[in-house]
Amino acid sequence: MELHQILDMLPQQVAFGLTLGSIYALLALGFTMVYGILEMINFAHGEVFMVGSFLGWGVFLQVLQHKFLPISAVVLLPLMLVVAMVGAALLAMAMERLAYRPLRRAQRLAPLITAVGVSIFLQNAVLLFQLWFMQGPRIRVYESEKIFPYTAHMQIAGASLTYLAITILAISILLMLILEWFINKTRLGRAMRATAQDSEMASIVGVSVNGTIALTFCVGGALAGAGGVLVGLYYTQIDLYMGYYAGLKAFAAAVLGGIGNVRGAMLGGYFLGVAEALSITFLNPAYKDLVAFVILILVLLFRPGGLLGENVPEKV
Amino acid sequence: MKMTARSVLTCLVCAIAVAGLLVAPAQAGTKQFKLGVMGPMTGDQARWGLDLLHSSQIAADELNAKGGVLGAKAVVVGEDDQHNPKIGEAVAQKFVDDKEVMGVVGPYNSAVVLAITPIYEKAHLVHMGASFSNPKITEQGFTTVFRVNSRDDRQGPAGAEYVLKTLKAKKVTVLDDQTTFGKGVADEFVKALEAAGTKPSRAVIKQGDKDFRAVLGTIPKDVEAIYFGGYAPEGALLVRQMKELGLKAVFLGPDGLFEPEDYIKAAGGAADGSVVTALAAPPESVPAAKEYIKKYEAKHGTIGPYSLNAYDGASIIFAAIKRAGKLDRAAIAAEVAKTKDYKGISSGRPVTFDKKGDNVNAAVYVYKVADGKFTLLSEITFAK
Repeated sequence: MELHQILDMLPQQVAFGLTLGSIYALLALGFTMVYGILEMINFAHGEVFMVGSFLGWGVFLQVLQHKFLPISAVVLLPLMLVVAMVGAALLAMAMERLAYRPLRRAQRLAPLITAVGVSIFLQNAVLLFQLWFMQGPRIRVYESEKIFPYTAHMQIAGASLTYLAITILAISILLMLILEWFINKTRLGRAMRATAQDSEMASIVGVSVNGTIALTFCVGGALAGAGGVLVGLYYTQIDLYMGYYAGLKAFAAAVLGGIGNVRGAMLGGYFLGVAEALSITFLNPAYKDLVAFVILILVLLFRPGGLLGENVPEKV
Repeated sequence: MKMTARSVLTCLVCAIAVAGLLVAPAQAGTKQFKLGVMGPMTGDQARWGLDLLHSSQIAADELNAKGGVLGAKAVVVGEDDQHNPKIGEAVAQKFVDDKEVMGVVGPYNSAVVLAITPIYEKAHLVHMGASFSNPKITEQGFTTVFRVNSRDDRQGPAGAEYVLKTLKAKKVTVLDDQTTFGKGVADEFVKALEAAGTKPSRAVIKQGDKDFRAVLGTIPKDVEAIYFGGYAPEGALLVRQMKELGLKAVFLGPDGLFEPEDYIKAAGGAADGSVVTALAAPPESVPAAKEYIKKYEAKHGTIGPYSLNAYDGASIIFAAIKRAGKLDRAAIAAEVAKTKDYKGISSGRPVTFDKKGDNVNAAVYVYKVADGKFTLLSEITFAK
């Protein structure tokens, strides 16, 4: 392909990368927040996202079938988001209470292995649910075109963006801004930062460590739930393994940005999304994951703490 | 109560002995043999694996209602291979180790069958394909692998012929999902296209990915036809995202896309106008299958596209067991190889295996998607 042809398609490809990246970022936040406080990788985070996605799908399907609400994005999207976020937040808190809290003083490997166990448990729970009540564990389809028609486009800076992509970008940026405000400007956010820095000291000055950790899982879970709905709408197909694959990418994004660092997770998500889109444009699409992970390795070689890992001492 | 290691061990031994006594007489009562079924039964391709399982189960139920074969009842055991060759190998080993398994229906995917035929070959265990189509599968000189359906070196060229003669397209892009099946059939398509002097551009996607917008974004807007070597879930996404991006090219694909739910329905109206070559007849077109379809749909909902092939596959194994006269794997495999003019329900033509294990009467069917349904355009046969 000629160079000018590639340059012509560049804005469009960057737009695809940013949309994908904002989804990675939403998920990466959950990994990074839990790591910031507990220094533990919550491998079951991808499954929380998967359950959130299924909850949103369930709401969507019910409304499409029974038509008790007008089929429009303005009504449906907030409803799907709220149900998925609440459900995913409750699930993440239950996970923390039942599986991780009893092991908080155990050796470091124990919660990690438990997280893998929780992940397998949740996958199989959804599998059985589908087997018993939903005609088998196959893919489920978000009929996004019913609320975001194929042809609804907008031209922005040389790229043609669907309303769906714009919505995804807007909602994820909004959620991240709210999170920033919550962590930096509210009492609860201050408690989270304090617990992340030194949980013993925080408890001495009156911060409820258990409550703060539960809150962290709650917020991370809610973000994953929102991510699940947005991914469902954007990808249009969900299945019970989706959390595993998305979790891999999001975890890479979190590490790339500097695990434990909230802004790092956002940056890492967008970085990875755009890197993928550009490697598809300039190189062979077969190498897109390779490129993403080579970048990850290179960044870690020169900045072991990730892109923003060392610069910001605060972590949540 | 404090239990020493020895007392625990004693208890265990007793428990096992008691359990053994309880189980043993139950087994001795009725004679049985097993038919293994393997395929993807969870995840993105679950519909296909479950389809193989349900079809084989109905074949076995019908056999058992007539008293079984050689006085033994058929028991169907399904195992999920998640379309992963590594998991497939473990499943194959499990079936081989279970001495009651006398034949296998499946797997669904070419990549899986290429990995497991050597395992079955050593145990002389016959395995019957309803859908796997990579040419190499029956070209390795093995004696235990058979298939009711046709091959990719026939459906690839059939797709190319449609592009050349019906669409008269000059600018063609070929995508594949880098699986054994997807890349293999795309290669066959390209070979046939190049033989006619048309050179397509190529790109790949990754199976399991859901966002192909960036890959589609690199395809020029004036491309007239896009051929995708791969499976229904990714095909549905591609055709959907093509519409979103405003690509007007005709979308074509092999039998991996031949799935009413996971391709047409999942594509949300975007699949209309696409063309699919498949290795199975439209179920309603086979008069002999009427009864069977009724039975299937009463139990499991809309019939899957490879159900008729799978039913015939299971029935051919049962017929071979009867001819062999004993529950012996090698004898059964030898009898399956002799299958000639077997009148089944997979198509209007009987099943006859050649030396390699291919069905000489298998056809390629060209379908077009219209109004959310597969409509048969033509049926290409190859028997001499």
